Amino acid sequence: MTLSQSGSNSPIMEAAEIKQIFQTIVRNVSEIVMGKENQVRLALTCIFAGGHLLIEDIPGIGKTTLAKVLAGCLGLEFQRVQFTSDLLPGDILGTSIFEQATGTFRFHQGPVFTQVLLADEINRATPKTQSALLEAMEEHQVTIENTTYMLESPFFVMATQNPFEYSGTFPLPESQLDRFLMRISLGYPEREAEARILKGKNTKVLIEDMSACVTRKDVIEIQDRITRIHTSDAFIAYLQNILEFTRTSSHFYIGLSPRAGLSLLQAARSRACLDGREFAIPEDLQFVMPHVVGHRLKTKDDMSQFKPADLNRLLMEIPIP
Amino acid sequence: MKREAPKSHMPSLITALLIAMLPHFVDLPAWIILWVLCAWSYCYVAVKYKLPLPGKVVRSALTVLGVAFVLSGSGIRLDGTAYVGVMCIMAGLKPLEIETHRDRMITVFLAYVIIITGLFKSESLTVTLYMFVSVLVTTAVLVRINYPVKAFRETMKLSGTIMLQALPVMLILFLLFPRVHSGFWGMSPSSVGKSGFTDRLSPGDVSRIVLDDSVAFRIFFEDEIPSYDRRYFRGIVFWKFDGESWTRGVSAPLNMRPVGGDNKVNYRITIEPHHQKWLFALDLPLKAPRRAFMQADQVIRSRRTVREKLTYELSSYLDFHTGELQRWEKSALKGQAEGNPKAQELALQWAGAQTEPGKIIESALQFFVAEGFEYTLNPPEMRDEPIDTFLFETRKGYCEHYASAFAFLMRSAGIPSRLVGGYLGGETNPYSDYLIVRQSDAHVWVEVWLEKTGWTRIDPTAVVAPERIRRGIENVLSPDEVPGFLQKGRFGFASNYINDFLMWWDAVSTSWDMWFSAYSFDAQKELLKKIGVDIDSVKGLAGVLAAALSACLVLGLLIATALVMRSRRKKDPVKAAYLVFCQKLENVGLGRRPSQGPADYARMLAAARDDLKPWAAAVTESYIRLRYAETADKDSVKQFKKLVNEFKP
Repeated sequence: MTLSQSGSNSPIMEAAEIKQIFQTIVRNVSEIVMGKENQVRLALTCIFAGGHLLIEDIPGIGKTTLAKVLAGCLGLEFQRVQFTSDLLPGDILGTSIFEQATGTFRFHQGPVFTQVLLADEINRATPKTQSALLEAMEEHQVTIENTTYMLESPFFVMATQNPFEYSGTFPLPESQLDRFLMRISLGYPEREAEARILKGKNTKVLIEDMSACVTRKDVIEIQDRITRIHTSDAFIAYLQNILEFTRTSSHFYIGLSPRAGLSLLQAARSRACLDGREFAIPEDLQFVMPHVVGHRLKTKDDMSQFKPADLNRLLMEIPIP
Repeated sequence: MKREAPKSHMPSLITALLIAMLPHFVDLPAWIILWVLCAWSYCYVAVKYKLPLPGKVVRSALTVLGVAFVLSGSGIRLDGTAYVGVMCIMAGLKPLEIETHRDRMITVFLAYVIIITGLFKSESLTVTLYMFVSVLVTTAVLVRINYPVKAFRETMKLSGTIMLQALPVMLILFLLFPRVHSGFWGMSPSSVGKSGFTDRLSPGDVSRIVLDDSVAFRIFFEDEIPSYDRRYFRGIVFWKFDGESWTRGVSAPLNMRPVGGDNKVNYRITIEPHHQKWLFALDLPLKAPRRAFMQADQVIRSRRTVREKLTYELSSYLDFHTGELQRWEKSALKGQAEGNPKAQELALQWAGAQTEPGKIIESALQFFVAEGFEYTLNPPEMRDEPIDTFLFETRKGYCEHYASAFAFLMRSAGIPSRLVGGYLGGETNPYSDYLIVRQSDAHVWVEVWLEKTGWTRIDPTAVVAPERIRRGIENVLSPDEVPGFLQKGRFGFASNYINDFLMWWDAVSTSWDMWFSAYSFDAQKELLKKIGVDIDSVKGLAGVLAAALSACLVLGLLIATALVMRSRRKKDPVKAAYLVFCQKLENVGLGRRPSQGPADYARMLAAARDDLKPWAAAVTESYIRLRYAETADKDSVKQFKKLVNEFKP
C-alpha cells in the first residue's frame, strides 16, 4: 500500500497531505500492533521530530514488533541489538580488521549504521557500551581510531528497558536519559485488542508482507518541514509557563532545563505538522509533554519518576496565556 | 427542570461556609442548623453521585419558607439573631444553585459576610482569632476557585500572603474608621445573659447560680489584692421578705449618706454582660462610676442594661461606718417579720433575755453552731413556713438559707436587718495581677444596723462553714457536692496544665479586651486631634470626610488605571475577544478551564450542545489562526471581534 506517490512526486507536500500520510501510517502500523494507536502516534511524532525513543516495558509486549513495523512502514533499514553485559562498544559501532590481502586495516560497520536501531534492554550493557551508543545518537556520527563516519539520515534509535528487573543492570544516568526525546510504555493490550492478536495471523508473516507507505526521502522532507513549523509568541509563552511551573512548583525535585524546553518545542512542532498544521497550538504541547518530560523530572517527595497521568494532572494547573 | 450537579469545588465551598457559620451554631435554633446541614449533605452527595439538584421552583419555595420561619421565630423583630438566621438559611440553600463561576464567587462573598456577623456575638480574642482562621480558609477557597488545581499547601500560602498584605489596611481602618459607641455597627452582641442575680431571691436561687462557672467580672486592683475574707462584692440589697422570698422591696433614694471609712482601695471592674442593671462593687463603694448611680443602700445601678462588657472604676472602704438609720429605712423595715411563728418566738426569747443587740446576734450565731447545722448545696425542700422548717427540722442549707433565716430572726428580735446578694472571694490569675470572680462565687449575707457601726456585715455562713469565707466553696462542700468544674482533677492527669493554660488564656484575652475596648470613640478623637484633625467641630468633620473620600477616590482610580494598563499590556485583542467568548459560555455553565486549549474546548462545546458546534468551530478556528499562526492583520482581528460579539450561547 503506497500512497505517498503524489507526495513524493511534487516537490513540496501540502500540510493536509502530511496529515493524511500520517494517518495512513498510523492505520497501517495499528493493523499489526493492535490497540496501541496513541503510542504509535507518539513514536511517529518522535521519529519525525528527529528524536530517539525509550520504551519502558516488560518483555513480550510488542516493542520489537513496533520497531520493525515502524521501520517497514517508513521504508527504513532496521537493525536490532540485544544488549548484554558483555557487549562491547565495537559490537555496536564496528571494528577495524586487518586484511592480509591488502595489508591494511579495513573498517567493518557495526549495526549502528542503519536507519532504525532497536537497542533491546539497553540497561543490561556496561556504561561504556551505553555511552558509545548514546554518543552516536547525539552526534549522528561515529568516531573510531580518529576516523569519523557519518551515520545515514534519518537515524532513529528505539531503546527498551524493563522497569521491573534491576538485577545485573546498569540504569541509565539522568544525563543519558536526556538524550531520548520521549519515553513511552506500551502496557498490556485491551481485551478486544488482545483477542484480535490471539486470533490474527502470525505477526512475522504480516511484517514480511508489509510494504512501505512513504519513502526515505519523504521522511527527510517531513523532518525538514517540522523544523520550520511556526511557533507564535503566545505558544512560546505557554511553553515557558510549563518550564517555569516545573522550576517553581513544590512537586519537582529539579525543574526542566532549557534543553528539555527545546525538546518540548521540537516534539510539539512534530505533532503540529503531523496534525496537518503549519503552526503549533497549546494542545500539541499538552499531547507530547507527559512523554517528553516524564523521564527528565523527579518527584520531590521520593525522587521517583512521574507517570504520564500525574503529569497530565499537573498540566491542568498551568494556565494557557 | 432537572440538571446534573456540577462537580467543581462543592466540598471547598461548603467547608468555607461551615467554618464561617460554626460560631453561630451555639445559639442558632436547632432547626436552622439541621436545615443547613441537610442542604449541604444533599449537595455533597448529589455532586458525588451525580444526582439531580432541585430546580428553581423548589429552591424559591424553600427560600420563602425558611425566611418566613426565621422571621416568625424572632417575632418579626429584625434584630441580629434574625439577620444571622436569614443569612444561614440562605447559606444553606446557596450551594444548591451553584452552577457557574459567578455563583461560586457569590458563595465565597456570602461566607465573608457570615464571618463578619461573628462580631454580633462578641469581640473577644477567641472570636477574633477564629475569624482570622475563617478568613484564611475562605480566601483559600477564593484562590482555589479562581486558580483551580494548585496544591493545597500553595493555595493556603497564597491566601496567607493576601491576608498579610491586607494587614496594613486593616490597621489603618481600625485606627481611622469612625468608631461607634457600642458594639459592632451599633449592634449589641446578642448572647443571652447567663443566670445571675435577679431582683428576687428565693431559697435555692444561689445554689443554682453556684453551678455555673462562667465569669461574672474581673477586678484589677490598683494596689494589693485584699485577703479572701474581705472580698465581699456587693450587688443587690433585699429589703422585703414575704415569708419565703426576698425582694428589693423599696425604691431607695439617691442621696448619698455620709460614709466614714478606712482602708481605701481603688480598682477597676470589667463586668460580663448579665442583662441586668446591677453593678457590683467591693464592699463598701464610695460613689458610683460614670453612667451609673448609687442608691442610699450603696447599691449601684447602671443607667443602661449591661448588654456588653463594661469597665468601670471605683473606690471602696474595706472598713466603714454608714451612720444613722435613716427614716426611709425604718419604714422599709416596718412590720416585715410575719409568719414562721416558731422562729419569731425564738427571737423574742433572745430579745427578752438580752437588750444589747450584739448579744442577740451572738445568741443567733451560737444557735447555728450549737444545733448542728449543715452546709450543703442540696438542702431538702422546705414548703410551708420555710424558715421554721429550716431552723427546727431540716437544718441543712446553703448561704441563702442561713442569711435569710438570720435576717428574719434579727428582724423578729427588733434589730434592723437586710439581705445583701453579691459575690465572695474570687480567684487570682497567676499570669496577670487580677481577680476572676465567677458565678460560682455567688454569695448572700446579712447586714444589721448597729448603733456603733451603722450597717454592719454579719455573715452567718462564716460560723457554719468558716472555710467558705476563707478559701471558697470547694473546700466546704462534701466531695460529691462540689460542682464538676471546681473539682481539682477534672481533666485527669493533664489537669494542672489545662488549668494553667485556661488561666493564661484568660489573662491574654483579658488584656486583648482591655486594649481593644480602650480604643474607643474618645481615644480615636484624641488620636485624630494629635494629627491635627478635630472631629468635634462640624468643619473639622466635613474636612476629614472630604479628605478621606478624595483619598479613597484617588487611590481607587490609581489602582483601577494600573490594573487596566496591565491587562492592556498583557492581553492582545485577539485573546481578549476570545475571553469574552469564553465568558459568554461560562454564563451558561460551559466555562473553560484556564489550562484548557482552544481546540480541546471547542470539542467539549460541540459534545455538550449541538447548536454550539458551528459557532465553536468558527470562533476557535479564527482564534487559533490569529493567535498561533503567522501574525494577524487588523481586518481579521476586527472580523474575529465581530464574530464573538454576534455570538449568543
